[in-house]
Order: sequence, then C-alpha cells, then structure tokens
Amino acid sequence: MSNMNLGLIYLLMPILMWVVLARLRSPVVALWCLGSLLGAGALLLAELFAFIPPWINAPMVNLLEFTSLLSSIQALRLDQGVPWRFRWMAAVSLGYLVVFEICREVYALGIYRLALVPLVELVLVLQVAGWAWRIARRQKSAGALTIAISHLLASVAMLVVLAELFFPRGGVPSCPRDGAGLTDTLGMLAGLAGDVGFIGLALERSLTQWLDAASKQARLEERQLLGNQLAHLDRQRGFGLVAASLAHELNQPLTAILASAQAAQRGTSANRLDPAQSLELLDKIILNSRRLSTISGRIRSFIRPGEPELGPVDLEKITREMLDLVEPDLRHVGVQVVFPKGAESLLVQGDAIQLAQVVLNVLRNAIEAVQLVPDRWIHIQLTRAAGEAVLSIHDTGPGVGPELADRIEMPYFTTKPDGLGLGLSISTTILQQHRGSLVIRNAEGGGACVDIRLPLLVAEGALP
Amino acid sequence: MSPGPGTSRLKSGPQLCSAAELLERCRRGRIILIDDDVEILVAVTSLLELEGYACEPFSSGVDYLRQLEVPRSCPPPGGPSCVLLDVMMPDLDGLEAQRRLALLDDTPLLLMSGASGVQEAVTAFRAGALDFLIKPIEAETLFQAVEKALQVSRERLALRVRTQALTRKLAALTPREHDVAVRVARGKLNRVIGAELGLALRTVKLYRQRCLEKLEARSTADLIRILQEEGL
Repeated sequence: MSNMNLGLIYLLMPILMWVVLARLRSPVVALWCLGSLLGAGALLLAELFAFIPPWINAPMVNLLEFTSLLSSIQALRLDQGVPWRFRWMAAVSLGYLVVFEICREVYALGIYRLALVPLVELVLVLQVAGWAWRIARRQKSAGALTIAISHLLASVAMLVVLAELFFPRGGVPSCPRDGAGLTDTLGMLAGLAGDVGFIGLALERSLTQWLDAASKQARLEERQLLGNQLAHLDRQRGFGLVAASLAHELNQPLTAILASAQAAQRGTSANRLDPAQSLELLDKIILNSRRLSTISGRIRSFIRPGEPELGPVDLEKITREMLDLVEPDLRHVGVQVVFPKGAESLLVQGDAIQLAQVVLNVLRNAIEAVQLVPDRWIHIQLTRAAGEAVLSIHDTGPGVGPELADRIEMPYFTTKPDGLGLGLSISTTILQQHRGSLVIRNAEGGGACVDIRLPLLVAEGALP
Repeated sequence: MSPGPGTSRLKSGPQLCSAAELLERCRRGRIILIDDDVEILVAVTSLLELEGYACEPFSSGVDYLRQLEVPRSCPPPGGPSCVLLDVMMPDLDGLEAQRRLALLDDTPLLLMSGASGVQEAVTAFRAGALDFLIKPIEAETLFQAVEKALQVSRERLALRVRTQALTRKLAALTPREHDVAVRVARGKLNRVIGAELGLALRTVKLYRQRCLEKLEARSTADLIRILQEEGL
C-alpha cells in the first residue's frame, strides 16, 4: 500500500468523521477533524514533492503537521475545559516555521537539523497521548484510551526515526522523509486508529450529554408535576380553610328549606294552612334551593381534579368569584371590600382555577392581615399597563415588616401557627408558569399591597 | 342573603294573628329567635307559630339585648319563654350573646349552629345552655328542645311565684312572731325559745300557732320546710 493511498484514506477519515459527528455541533469535534484534515493535507503534500519545489513544499508540510497535532491537542484540551489561546497557538506555529527554516538552511547543525522535526512531533504526539490518557482515566472512556494507545504507538514510530538518525544502520544519516517507509506507515495507521478512537469518544460524549439532557428534562417534568400536585394540595387546603364557613353557608339555606318544608307538611296535614300560606312556604323552599345551588357553584369554580386547562381568563370575573367564596369570612371579620367595576374586561391566557387559587391566597392573607387592625378595608384594582394586566390587592393591615420582606416568598416560610408557608411560593410559581409575577410591597398609606402581573392576551383570538 | 343593618324585628311568615290569639300563644310559650339569616328567621318562625307558639325573631343578638336593656313601656307578656340563638353571627357571636344574656335574666337558652364545633358546644353547655341544636334542625328535635326549655321556664316562673307569695306571707309576721319562727325552723324546743326570748312557754306556743296560720302551714314539719325554702 503506497503512502498516497494511505494519505487518501487519511483525508477521507476526517471527512467521514465530520459527516458522522457534525450533528453534535461540537467545537471539540471540529478541532479534531481539522487536525486530521491538516495531517492528511501534510501527507498528500509530502507525496507531491516531485511536483512542488522543495523550498515551498517542505515548510508547508511541516507547518501542516505541526498545526495538525496542535489542533488535536487543542481539541482534547477544549474537551477538558483548559484550551490554549488561539493567538498563542498561531504565534507558536509561526515561530516553529521560522526555526524550521533556519535549521534547514544552517547545515552546520548537522544531525540536529534533521532531528528537529521528529523531536517536535514526538513531543506533540506525546502531548496528545497524555491528554487522551487523562480523559481515559478520568472518564473511563474506551475511545480516549484508543487515542492514547495509538498516539503512543505513533511516538514509537518517531522514536524509531530518531534512532535511525542518531544510530544509522548504513553509517550515513538519512533524511527522515526519505526513509519513511514502515515508520511513516505505522505513524499514519496510529493516526487512523486515533480518529476511530475519537469517534468513539465523541459518541460517548454525545450519549452522556443526551442522557444528561434527558434526565434534566425528566427532573423538570417531575418538578412541574410535583408543582401541580403541590398547587392542587394548596388549593385543597385553601378550600379546607373556607370549608368551615362554607359549611355554615350551606347549612343556612338547608335549615330554612327544612323548616319551611316541615311547616308546610305539618300545616297541611293538620289542615291549618290556606293555599296562599302554602304557596309562600313553597316559594321560600325554591328560593333557598337556588341559594344552595349558587353556593355549590362557587365550590365547583374552585375544585377540579386533573390537569391545568389553558384558555382565556377574565381576571375580574375570577376575582369576584373568589370574593364570593370568602364572603362569609369577610362578613364575619367585618371587612369592607372596594373593587370598582372595570371599563373593559382584561383577558389573560392561563388556567382559570390556578389563577383563582393565587387570588384566593392573596385575599386570605389580606383578610388575616386586617384582623390585626380595627379599620378593615381591602381595596382591589384591576388596571392595564404596558401589555400587562395588573391586579393590585391592597389591605389596611400592618403591612410587611422589613425582617420578613426577604423571606416572605421562600417556600415553607410562615408566620402563622397552622400555616404551611407554601401559599405565596406556590402563587409565585403559578404566576411564573403564566409568564407573570407577584410583588409584595408596603403601600404608601400603610398596609401591604400585592401586585399580580400577567401578560394580556392579544386582541386577535382573545375571544374563544 | 344577609339582612341589612337595622332590621330588628321582622314581620313573620304566614301566621298573622289577633291580640287575643297572641295572648293565647304567649301562654303556651314565647320563643325569642335570634339568627342573622332572614330566611331562617321566617322559616323557623312559620314552623313554631304553626305549632301554636309565639315567636319573636331578631336578626342579631345586639338588637335583642338593646331591647332588653331599655325599660319597657308595657311589661313582657307572662307565660314561659326561651331564647333560640345562632352561634355564628357577624356582629355578636352567639356564645358572647349567651354570656351577656345570662347577666340580664334567667330565660332558658338553646343554641344552634351549622358547623358543629365541639369546643363551641362545650362552652355553651358550661355557660348553661339547655341544648345545642345542629342545623339543619328537624322539626321534632326543635319542638322537643323548645318544649324542654319552656318546661324549665315554667318551673322557674312557678318557683318565682311561690317565693314571691311566701315573701309576702313572711312580711305579715310581727317581729316577735318572726323571732319565734326562725328558732322553730332551727328545730329548737318551745322551752328553749322561751328562755332565749324571755317569754313564757304559753306565749311561745301562741306565737307559734299564729305563725302556722299566717304562713298557711299544716303542721310544724310543714312550717320548717317552708321556712327553709325561704332560707331562714
């Protein structure tokens, strides 16, 4: 097999490698392919010595070989995260070229003139082998091990060349390029094996990256799922908190219905009711049944098993629904709520129930805050600002102390003896998932103000 | 549907009745119903009035207390009465209302609640509530509780009438007769009483006889019982 054919295979190798590995879009792969390509270039150029004048051929071949090995080292260094500066590499290459030219012209140097190239190459090849060995040992990569072994083999070839130089068999030192033969072939075979090893290394890398990405994705999905479950739990808890007052709310109309029905029953059976009185009792039963169905409607608007459902959400509507839900508490605590009707309905994209949960959390906090003061008001405002809907809920409570301001949004932070400390953190998470935000600040006139910001739905397609 | 402020007494349900009938109802029993929910006031009032009770609905404990505190132009109608009070109310909590009512009079009290908190019930019973009804309330349960409360009210009224009569009778005794009566009640012998008060045995016997007559006691044992009841 002639060196020309081997050179062509050598040229084919980096191209094939690039075809296989281009998908990875890795600068390490690009550098290694470049190195192999430069090496193949050097080889082919060397084979063409008959057609190109030696004063241009020899320095070009050497420069190509030098930069080829430099690229390979740089590829492995980059892989390990400790690359050289390219400017520095260019300077070294130029410097080497100059030194090589000087050596070539100065015959007085004798044998060392000829030994320069194999010596430099030996150092560089050992560098490649060293870095590959390091990768193989650290990351237990079979590909890197192949690179290391093949380059050690190549360095053996260099050593043979050097040995021939210093201890010539025929007694006459020969130029390494002229007497290449077996050693050059060995070096090139080692180079090919190195390329195969590198493909292995690159594939291992991409597999690892892919696995990492997959596990990261899985973790993300898991967190999302957990987040949904937490949000659902928080919603159930929030609902549990209003449930006590809701039970009372449900019992009131039920009590009225039962009493009216039994009055009608007893009155009719004892013949003590005239038709007008019976009708009045029946009217009461109907009226209170309707009351019941509005209350159960409120519960339905808040409890839903399963996945979030995206759609246009009317912020004013869900805020009023949540006000209805906490209405018994508002009445019991004696809170006055001011919520002026908006001129236009502000629609945002999102899950109505999760957003309602956020509003409920904020309202519940506000109700608890105003219990600490005699003057109990909650002012709610829904405005439009720069493509966002801003829902501000401002209470007249004591506000947020500076010592709480930092920690208030942290999960599990709570000032309430029976609180989980998740309400605000879940609210923030839900809003982030909706590309919105939640900010707690102290209002100018005292009390805390919570701003809920959500991107407005664009006018087109705003209506379902 | 919450009642607006200032809604105190409500025109109640289907039953409208004359003054004579009202008097008759009051004799049977007067129930003061306090709940912040107008619908419940109307419905329970209908139910109670159909059973022949008189029912006075109030939409808050404060309203009823205010009405108790102002001196009445006409005295409250006689006959037994009881208070049926909701625990969960906005301006005055049922338990607090119960505490304040207990300071004003001894009308038997029934509490009702939708959310049955054990703690609430315990507090209510400790404060002397006769029963704790869970909403929605079955008519039978309501009538039984009301009847029990009215029975207690009747007993208290009867006791009050008897005590008042006895006080009147005791007031008719002369100081000397009173002294003798007190010592008889302590189980002292006539001779001892005579020695203590410096009276002859005959005089003691005479006073004793007059005490029996004035207090309408049939025997000495009866006299002792009456006097002990009066705390002498």
